[in-house]
Amino acid sequence: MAFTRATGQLAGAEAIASTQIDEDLALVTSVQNGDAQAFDALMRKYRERIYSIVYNITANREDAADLTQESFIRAYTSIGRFKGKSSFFTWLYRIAVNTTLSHVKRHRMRRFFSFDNINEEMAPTEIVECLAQRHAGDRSAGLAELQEKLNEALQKLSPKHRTVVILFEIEGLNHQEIAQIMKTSEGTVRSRLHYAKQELQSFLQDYVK
Amino acid sequence: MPQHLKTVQKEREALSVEQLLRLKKAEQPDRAFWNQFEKQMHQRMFQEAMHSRPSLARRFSAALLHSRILTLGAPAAAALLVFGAVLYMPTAQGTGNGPIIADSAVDMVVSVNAPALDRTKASRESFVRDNLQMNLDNGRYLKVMAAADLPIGGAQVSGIRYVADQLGAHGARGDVLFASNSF
Repeated sequence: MAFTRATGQLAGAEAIASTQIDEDLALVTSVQNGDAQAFDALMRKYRERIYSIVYNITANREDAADLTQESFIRAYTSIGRFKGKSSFFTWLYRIAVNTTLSHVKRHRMRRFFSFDNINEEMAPTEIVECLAQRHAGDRSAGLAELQEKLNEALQKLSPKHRTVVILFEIEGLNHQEIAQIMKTSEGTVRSRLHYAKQELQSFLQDYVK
Repeated sequence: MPQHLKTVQKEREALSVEQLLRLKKAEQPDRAFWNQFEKQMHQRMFQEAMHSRPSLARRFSAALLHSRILTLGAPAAAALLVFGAVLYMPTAQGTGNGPIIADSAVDMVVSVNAPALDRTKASRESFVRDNLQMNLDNGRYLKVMAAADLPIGGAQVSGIRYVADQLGAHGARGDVLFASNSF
């Protein structure tokens, strides 16, 4: 029964994903035929996710806004070359990741953090409870401190390791999707992920098991 | 507290790396950020399109205005029916300040790049005048958006000022005219 339900859920998720891909393709075709409004629809659909990737790689909200816009502009100006060999979101994510990694490489000597606020209602319960014990109930202070430590730890990773962790753990992509986005093998993705998590474990030893 | 109890408590408080990373999902910009983002995004896309492919800019500005017309409702839509032609004028150096896109609906865009136009200053000015006249005859302007570096007008008169003067000279029937590089 559990197997049937799980299979059913998977089939449902796949159907939703497939519908999304079809919707995206229809919008992309409209843009290619000159409908710029269709691109607005794509931008609104993906801007939060693209921003999130860029922000987590750079740890700078101003750079993230700028690079997210740049990624969309690149996508818009080269959409004529999109042939549908991959899904639109994979193609868009690849543009965003490449744009961001180039930026990080160009400005590797510049480390300047600028964080978004934490939406406390969205903070995971187990983290909030854990921090409440450590900080005598001062949830905000605990969250702010952890936010800083987390971002510092992520920035200690190499850009490629950081990107893999972000795409897998924060964005929820699978190994295959990440491999497509980063133009590498799934094995490399797995190995980078394993190494990156070990590093994070060591950087965040005050918090982790 | 005995050492072994401290250790137990510490273990209870500890989290996995995966759990900690979930906190990153809660870092989010507010709604105002996205409003500003969208405005800047449209401006950059328009500028990019103007400098690379004028046809893209034409589509983009038309789409932008169309979307605003839909949200403004019928009375505003009636006033905006006069969206004029995008006049593509050649730039003097091909660079400089790009056109500025308004953060509210405009009725006409006067901008750079018109490869089809003959490049003498007099003919460019005449082209602008004729198009303004033609569009004024069909309706009324509320806002005109113009690039600061239009290669028309005199040394002391910017492109924006020139367009504003022409609108005034053509009699704007008491409508609100606004031409600026900072809408």
